[in-house]
Amino acid sequence: MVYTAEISRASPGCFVFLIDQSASMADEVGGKVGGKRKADAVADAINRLIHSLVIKSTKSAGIRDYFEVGAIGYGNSIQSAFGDVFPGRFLVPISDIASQPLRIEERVRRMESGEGPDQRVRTPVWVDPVAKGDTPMCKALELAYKVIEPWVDANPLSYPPVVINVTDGDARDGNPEKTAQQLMNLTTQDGNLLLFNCHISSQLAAPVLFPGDESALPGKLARRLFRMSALLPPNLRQAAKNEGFAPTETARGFAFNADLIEIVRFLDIGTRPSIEQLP
Amino acid sequence: MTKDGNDAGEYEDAFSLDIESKRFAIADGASESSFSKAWAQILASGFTNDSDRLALAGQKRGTDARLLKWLVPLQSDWNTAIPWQSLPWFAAEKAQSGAFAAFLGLELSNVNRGRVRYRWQAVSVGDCMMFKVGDGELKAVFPTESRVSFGSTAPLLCSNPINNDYAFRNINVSNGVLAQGDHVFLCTDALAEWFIAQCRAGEKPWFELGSFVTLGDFGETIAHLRSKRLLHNDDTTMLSIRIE
Repeated sequence: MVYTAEISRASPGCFVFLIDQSASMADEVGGKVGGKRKADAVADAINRLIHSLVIKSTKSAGIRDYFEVGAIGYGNSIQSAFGDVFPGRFLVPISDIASQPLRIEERVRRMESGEGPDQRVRTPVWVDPVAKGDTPMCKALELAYKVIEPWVDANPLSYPPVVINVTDGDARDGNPEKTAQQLMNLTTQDGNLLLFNCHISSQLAAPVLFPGDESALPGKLARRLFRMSALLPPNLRQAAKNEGFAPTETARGFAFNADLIEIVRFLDIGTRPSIEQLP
Repeated sequence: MTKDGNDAGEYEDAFSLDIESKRFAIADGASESSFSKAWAQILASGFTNDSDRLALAGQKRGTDARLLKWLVPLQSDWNTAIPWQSLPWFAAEKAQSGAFAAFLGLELSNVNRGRVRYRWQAVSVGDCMMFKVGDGELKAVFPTESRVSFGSTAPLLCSNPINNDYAFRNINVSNGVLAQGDHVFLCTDALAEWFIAQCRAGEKPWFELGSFVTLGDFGETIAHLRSKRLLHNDDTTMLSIRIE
């Protein structure tokens, strides 16, 4: 059975985020004037997810290297979205991620009424929002391939890598479908690499999550990103069901016109089964 | 016995016994929480220690109030044992939720009526189990199988009092008698689950578990069962009590 490998220090998991950092990411999510910028929403969602991976991997006074994590930004240039924190490294063990955030911010968490005063919480940041340049998605996928290929060779027994591409538009450097398929051809003994695509909405439109076929999808971009997305393995289908979705057996790891809430839910579902494989 | 793949120092089960007071306890620290080993040890030894003991009444009524009161100093002990000032941000954040553990405590009191030697009373939260064997047959299981859920949904006692609601809705209490020749096994979840599976298959696992003379015997059997994938790879603890 595939996609069942237990994640451990001997067989860690791998997550890579591909983050669209093109100029249009400065627009508001869903086109809502005065709303949150797409770049900020995506950075917040990814920081939140990395935070949860760090906490999951924490054990007493230390961290267990259950995961390696990468974040590749693509816009004006293609570079690690972790900034200069890990020079020369695109995949970083979770222990290094934990001990070297870009910074830790103090943010106010508003409590629901009746639950007490607002709380100040320490919030680590690893990825900053960027919105500049074009959309070299093909080059980002190629870089992901170069980064992950040695990882699967070194970790043949691991749960397959999960790559999540978050974008608000189409590639501007060619047709990314072939490169995406090459990326998904990388395998461990537990299965093929899982490439999921999350499209952020630029206008008010109904979100589509985990569709089973492309025929009802709105437009060429949606259908292309659908074809570039892996089928959900059984454990992720179950995770999606647990969250209230109704994925069919042909459902893919794809979200279109995702808004703030859907971005977070998509990232959470895409990574949670791996987390649940933790001992 | 430590889970395969972990160092011995990463063992997170605990056990404690006091022969004089006839108190026995096992606890299984949750691997997902931090400082679970310390919490499991505090729970197990807290049950068998002389002072501030958890009084058992053999019935559920009033147990939750007594358990709540019993936990207070133990939670304080755990909190004191954490080196908060020296923890990195992520370790402090995780520890603030508290540590979690399954727990089972057993107390015997003298009866000495014919073959009946003791009355037993037990309390548990989570998936640790007690099996009583007598005259070559399984006589009692505590808690009953319907009350035990193995895996990530098991209720667990928490070192942070705000996270004990689920545990307190799932306290198990029972009592019975023990006769001369009876054998009691207290097992943490992996071994308990194996024991139940063996019984369902018509086997009598107590013969094997009752045959151990040394820790090495126990270790060999556990390693063998794990290699055959008959026993889940997890920290494994057993207390074996023969009634003379």
